[in-house]
Amino acid sequence: MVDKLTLGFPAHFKYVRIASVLGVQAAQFIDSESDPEELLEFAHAFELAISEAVTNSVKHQRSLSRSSKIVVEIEISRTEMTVAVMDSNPHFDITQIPAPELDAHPENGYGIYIMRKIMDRVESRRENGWNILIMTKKRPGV
Amino acid sequence: MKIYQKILEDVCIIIPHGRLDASNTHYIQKSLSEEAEKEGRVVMDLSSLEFLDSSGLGAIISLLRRVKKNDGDMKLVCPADKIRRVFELTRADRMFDIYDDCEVAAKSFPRGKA
Amino acid sequence: MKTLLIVKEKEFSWLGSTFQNCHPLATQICKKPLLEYFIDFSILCGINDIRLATDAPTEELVDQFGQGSRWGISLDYSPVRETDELDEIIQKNSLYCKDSRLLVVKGFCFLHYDKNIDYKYFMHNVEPGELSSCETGSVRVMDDLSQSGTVPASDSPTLSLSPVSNVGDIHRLSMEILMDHSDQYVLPGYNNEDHIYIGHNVTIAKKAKIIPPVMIGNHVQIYGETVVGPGAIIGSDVIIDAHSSVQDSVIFDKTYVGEHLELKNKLLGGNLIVDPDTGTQVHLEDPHLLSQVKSSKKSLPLIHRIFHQITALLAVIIMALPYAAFALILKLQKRWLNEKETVFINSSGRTVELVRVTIKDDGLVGRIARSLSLERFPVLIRVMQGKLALIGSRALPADEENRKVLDEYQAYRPAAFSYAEAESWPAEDSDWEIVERFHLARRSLLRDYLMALKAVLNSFN
Repeated sequence: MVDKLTLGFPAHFKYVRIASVLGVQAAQFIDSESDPEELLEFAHAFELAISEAVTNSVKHQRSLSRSSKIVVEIEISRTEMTVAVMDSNPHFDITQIPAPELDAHPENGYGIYIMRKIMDRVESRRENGWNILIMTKKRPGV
Repeated sequence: MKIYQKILEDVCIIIPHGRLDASNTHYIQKSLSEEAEKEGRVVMDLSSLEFLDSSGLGAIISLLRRVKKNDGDMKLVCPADKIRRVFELTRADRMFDIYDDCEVAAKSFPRGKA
Repeated sequence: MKTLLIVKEKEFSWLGSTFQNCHPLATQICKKPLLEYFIDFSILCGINDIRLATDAPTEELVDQFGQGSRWGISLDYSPVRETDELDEIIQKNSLYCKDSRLLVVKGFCFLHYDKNIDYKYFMHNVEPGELSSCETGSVRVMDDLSQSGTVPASDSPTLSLSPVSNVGDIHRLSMEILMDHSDQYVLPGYNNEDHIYIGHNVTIAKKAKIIPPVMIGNHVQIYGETVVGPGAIIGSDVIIDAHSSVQDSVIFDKTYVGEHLELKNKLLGGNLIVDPDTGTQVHLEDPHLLSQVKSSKKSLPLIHRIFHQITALLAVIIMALPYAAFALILKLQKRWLNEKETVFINSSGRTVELVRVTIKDDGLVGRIARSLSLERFPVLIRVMQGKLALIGSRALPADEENRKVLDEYQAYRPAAFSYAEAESWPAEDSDWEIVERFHLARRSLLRDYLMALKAVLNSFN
């Protein structure tokens, strides 16, 4: 069974949490026999990663006055959960983003780094004018 | 997002409630009064925070820098693992003295400084 | 009662990443992570709460130990500063330490105890103060309830500390426990014979000799004419090749021990050999001690290639019809994804484009399609054309990083099925490389045939 949830919203910071909370809730739908603690950690990882990804999308839109649209797609398969964050911003390639200099304790630039740390896979691609950022994590107990 | 403040002796305690993300980091920036910034004895109590991402973290780091400019310090109270994870992932935990009890954090400032 | 472990980064920085890519507190002594000994001891004392106060990153520990639920305890972490003294650390954790007796272990050290003793009474009644210490640490009982004890610390049952300050200490402790004190600790592995601990999926050749005491991890292959023990601690995902011997030595996870190697009183992990007495380290250039394999940059003999091509041809003929049918059904359901990928086809960097099929269906149709290996159909055509082998290495995507891998991987021979798959080797990290290199060095027509069969059967299951 593959369940899919889709959420579309204008690119505004105030909606970041809606996407993030959707991720947490979706992850908790997983009917897992694994340790509830592990499941909660899994859900929290998505809560944080989605918040980071959507915040990036809002930040990088062309003009802040006319919000573009962001679509978040959550897919739960037998083995993993995948979240795709799509926006129509100018081309954004995550491989071009340098890792933050942790020892200098910067005030921003952690987003991609955090996603990579807490997800199993983070990929981005450009398709029909959309930036698609895909984050995948193996379900607990798989 | 609500941010409560209280003064314990001469220490300013900032207690943000709810979720701290890019939509409300400006409240954190505003939460430090000029007076408290000068006094330089600040405790940020994160124990009522439900969620923190790197935007929120950035705001907290920036606040610490403001306080430190005046030779002050900002201590953290941070019991929840989920919130602390963000500090650990980014190594920001190395910038702060982190306590699990707000009162003890407030009392940890050296006495005698006016 | 609660446990507070205090370990500073500077106390274990000497360890670096010598052997294991893990947190120093997860360093294995007798195949058991150091931290787990503290957890076990806390449980013996009737303690359910353990907090680790450290200035070092803990992510790896969190990944490995979680919040302790596996042991039925609560494990958490407190970030402290490098300069914090004991009283500052207690202050920072005052909520945790409040109203409780505290077992405080400070420093990077090993705690000797005996699992057969009940420490509960002693711990609850001992006079607060230091119980034991060594050059690198101390263990003490503190009491926030200002309860004084009725039992003097000198009445302590088996309880002492040993320093862990160099690689020799790790070797010495491991050997001591294995040889004389294995009954004092809960050690991993089945223990159906005295002094022999064996994990799961372990293959031991008939002509191999095992002399206790030994400990062997999971997924270990021991080949003929080898002598293992006495005093051998062997990690998981390890191959010990023919005519080698391992005595008084520790071999860490994911290590390949080549043929005719004699290991006595050594620590060995990946490509590093350490003499525990002198601390002398030898980095072997070859990442997996595969000195014999490295030279085998030979193309496949003609007969091999023909075998691979003909088998692929047969497979393509048999699979053509089911392939067409299943692809059609799954494509209509949008559960059949074709992606193009460029991979290296030899170690000098030539590439070919492959069609990678992903079947995104967990239903019956998808399962059948997968068990028939239908997603490999396009790749098998490449095998038929002679671009890839039927069985061999995993085909590495053509990118900068893999280009570097190939420089050290002369025997690389990409294939539709990989040896690692055939052996159902865990797919994480680089362990698969060990298996691949091993089989590449030993390939023969019959072996390849059997391995390919194994790979197909595996996907069938």
